[in-house]
Amino acid sequence: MTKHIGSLEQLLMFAVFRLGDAAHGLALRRELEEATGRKVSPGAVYTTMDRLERQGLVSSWIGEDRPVGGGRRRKFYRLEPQGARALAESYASLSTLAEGTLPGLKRLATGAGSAE
Amino acid sequence: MSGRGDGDGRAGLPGDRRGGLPRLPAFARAILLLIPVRDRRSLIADDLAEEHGRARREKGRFAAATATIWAAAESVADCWLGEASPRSVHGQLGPRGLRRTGLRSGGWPRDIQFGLRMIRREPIVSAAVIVTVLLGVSATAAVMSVLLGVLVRPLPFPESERIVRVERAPEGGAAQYPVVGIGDLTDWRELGTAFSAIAGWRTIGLTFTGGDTPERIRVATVTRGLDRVLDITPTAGRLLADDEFVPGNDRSIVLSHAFWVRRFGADADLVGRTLTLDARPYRVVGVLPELPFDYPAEVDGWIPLAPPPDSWMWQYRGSSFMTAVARIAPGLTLEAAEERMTGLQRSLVEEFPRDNSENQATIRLVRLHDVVVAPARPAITVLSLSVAVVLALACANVGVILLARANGRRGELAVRSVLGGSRGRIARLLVTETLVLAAIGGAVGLLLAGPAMRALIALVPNGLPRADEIAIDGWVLAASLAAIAAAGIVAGLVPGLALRRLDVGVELRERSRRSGGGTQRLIRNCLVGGQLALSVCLLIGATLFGRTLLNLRATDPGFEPNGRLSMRVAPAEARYPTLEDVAGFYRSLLDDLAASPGIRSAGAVNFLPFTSGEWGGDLEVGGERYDARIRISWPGYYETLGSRIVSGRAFDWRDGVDGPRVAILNETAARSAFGDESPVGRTVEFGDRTREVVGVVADVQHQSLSEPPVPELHLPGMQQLEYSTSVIVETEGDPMSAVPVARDVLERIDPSVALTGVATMEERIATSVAPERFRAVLIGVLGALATLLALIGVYGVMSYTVTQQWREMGIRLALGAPGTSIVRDVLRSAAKLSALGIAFGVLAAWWAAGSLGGLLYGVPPRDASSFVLVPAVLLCAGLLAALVPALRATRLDPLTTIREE
Repeated sequence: MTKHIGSLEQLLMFAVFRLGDAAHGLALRRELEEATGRKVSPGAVYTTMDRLERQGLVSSWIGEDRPVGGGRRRKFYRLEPQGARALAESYASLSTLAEGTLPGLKRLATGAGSAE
Repeated sequence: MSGRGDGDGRAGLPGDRRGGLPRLPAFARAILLLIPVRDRRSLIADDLAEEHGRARREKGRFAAATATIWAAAESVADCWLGEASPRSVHGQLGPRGLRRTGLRSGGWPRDIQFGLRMIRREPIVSAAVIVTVLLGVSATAAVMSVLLGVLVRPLPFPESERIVRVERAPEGGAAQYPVVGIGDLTDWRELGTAFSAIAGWRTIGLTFTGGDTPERIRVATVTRGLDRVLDITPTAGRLLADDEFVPGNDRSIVLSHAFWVRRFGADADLVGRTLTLDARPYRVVGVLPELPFDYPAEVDGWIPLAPPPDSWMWQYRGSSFMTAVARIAPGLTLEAAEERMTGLQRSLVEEFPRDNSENQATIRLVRLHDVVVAPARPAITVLSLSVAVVLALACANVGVILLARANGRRGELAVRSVLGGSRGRIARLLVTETLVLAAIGGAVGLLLAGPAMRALIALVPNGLPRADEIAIDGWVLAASLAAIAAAGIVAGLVPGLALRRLDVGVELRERSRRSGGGTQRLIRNCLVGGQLALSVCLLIGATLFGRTLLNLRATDPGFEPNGRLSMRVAPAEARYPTLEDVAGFYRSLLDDLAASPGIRSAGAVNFLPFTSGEWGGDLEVGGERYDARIRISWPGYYETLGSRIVSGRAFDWRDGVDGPRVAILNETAARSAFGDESPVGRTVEFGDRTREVVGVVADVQHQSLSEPPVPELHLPGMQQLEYSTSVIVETEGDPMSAVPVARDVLERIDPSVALTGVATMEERIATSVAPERFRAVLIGVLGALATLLALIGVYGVMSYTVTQQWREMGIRLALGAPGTSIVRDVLRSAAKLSALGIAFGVLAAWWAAGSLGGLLYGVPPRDASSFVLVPAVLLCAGLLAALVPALRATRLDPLTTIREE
């Protein structure tokens, strides 16, 4: 693995990949919220995406004017091959580490809960 | 809190009609302004607006506004933190997490980083602050160095505060001439109890032969004990021993360290060898220590003063020729020592009434440090005052600019305080920001301080004492940095303290009308007005001093300086022991010079106009005594100088050694001693001899162009022994072309005589107006600096005012108002701002000008044209400075402006 990617970066890159052509800022945040139950601010999203873009992991373009909704323009993101490689690598290492730990983690989580 | 942020009531902007995007609460919009990158800000704003619209439909107005404001705040925090450190984004977010992630607890590095980012965002304002600080700091460091080096730092001698110059003064008055005779000095040493050591010295010129060309050196002839007064130890060999102060055993010299290094390459074997000075052998016994300051200053060595008992020094007890210095005995204050010595002096006056006048009845002790720095004090005082002015201006300017900027940032500050930033925390951020700017300006300023200091030293007329000691040192560095820090903190805190009265809600709702609160506007206008007032004062002063300089240069000195070269020669006493010998030397020198190609005529006098050195004496006419300056001149002098013989005749070679004693008076002396009668043919007494007045010569400005002439008694060189003399030649072309000619002539007549002090008479006059030039240049530079700063201030304030009224102007332009009306409005408020400051400046200058009288020449202190012209020019400059932002306003695109608001 050439480059360390943080967890928010990983999550966002997964979201970009899943959303395909619809990966704009607002959609990314909704995707993240649905998947993790965690609200992320637009500021965090755009700052992180800018950084990923600077690193060449994603690219962006400005979409057409939306006919409805009255907004100006939207910025869309796409995963670049380099980004896909980095994401796959970090996912692979994560799953290697994670393999077979889920039942144990669940047990521990419940145990910790009962200790309350 | 969040309820206030609901700004939906503000409708009516075009944005509302563009497809129904719900407007963000004003509070949220304000918060988003903190995001430095504009593209990102608009993307985030759009996203938030879309969400806000849905939230309003689903949860109601209040809940939606609260959520949106928090989201906006989170976004701001995330943008900053995400930029500052990539990893920190992943901390917990939300109301509680926010507090932990930074806005409240961020450290200094982040504040500094923020400060640096502000420079990128507002380059012009930041540049103005940096340049202002830079100017202030370099001026402070330069002047502080001079001040410390010259005035504050003690002389490099042990317990140097105990070293004093001993002067004889009239009761309750100041000494007329700070010199004493050897008789008094000896009695003080023998009978006095106030000093642990006392010594006298004077300097003489000697010609050192032994190298390729003869060299004129300056040595101090010193009495016993100077080494004990100064408490110094030699670098090599020894200092003068007591038995060397005995006539016949006095051919010893202690070389100065500088001369030893320069002339002999610090040759350690030199001690014990013999040097030829004025054709006499002197044994080198040692080398003085290497100190940053020599006393007596600028001498090449010390030789013993050991006059034989029949010397005039002993014979005429009243003749005063030495500077007396002493070391006050331990445990004695200066006042106590003064009292003891005065008691002794009173008895000496009684014992020798002929030699000590009433003017010498008391003893005054002046600390050597004060003696040394006294000549530089006026210049340094002027410098210190000016640097105080520059520093004050710089601080005011930084204050004005930052205050105006802070005004534009009230929204940001309000958001910070809403988000939990304590006042202290916010003040810290502001101070850090300012310090970042100040540090950059200060760092560059300190780099420039060295060159600025050297320029200053060069500018000070007649040089500064202890100039070699002056350096930008650690203390100066620390002091300058302290000045920057203080200026930065003060300027940074003013906006911070203004926050105290910041009503957050009002602040955010009324962003579009934020041209500054009444108090702040008042402070700002006062600061700019004050700068203008000061500029007016300084510029009027510069005009007055400048005209003084021009008037002086236009003054007729009473002789013709063009095409005249002056130089100094001094035949050695040992080779020319009698008047006849000296007269023979000068006669061949002057005749040969006058006969040389390119030289029209040649003459000589002991002290030429505009050279340093004077010899005063009592001229007696009919029992009356007149204080006169004594000139010893040689035939050809008046003709060569281009001065006029008013009546009678000039000296010629027939006024020889054995001829009748003759004298010439200048017009002032003739007038004061003989009134309207012609003195030609009458007699005067000088030095126990009667002399016949053979002529009257026109007055000549001698020491300066502005002082009235003093009485002068001229004696022929053939009848009054004087070795060291200034030679003047009138040349056909460039005066300097006569230098090699003169060298050749001198080489032919006597190769052991050195030619020194070469300068054209024009140069000498230029040097004499150096103090006036110093004042004119200094006040001029200062005035220019002050004006520049004031105009930056006007520009800054008007730019901000215009920026704050962007929206109003945009609307006016959109409604068809002509650009000229906008320009007119801006200029009108600039004129109001400038006119008041300038008016105050004129009043202050009018008041201050009264005390300038003594420094001006040929121009009244309240010169009407200066008092009209300067304010008019400055007002125009102020309007020009305001014109730039005014014109920018007319080029506004109305729609953009309104939308940006």
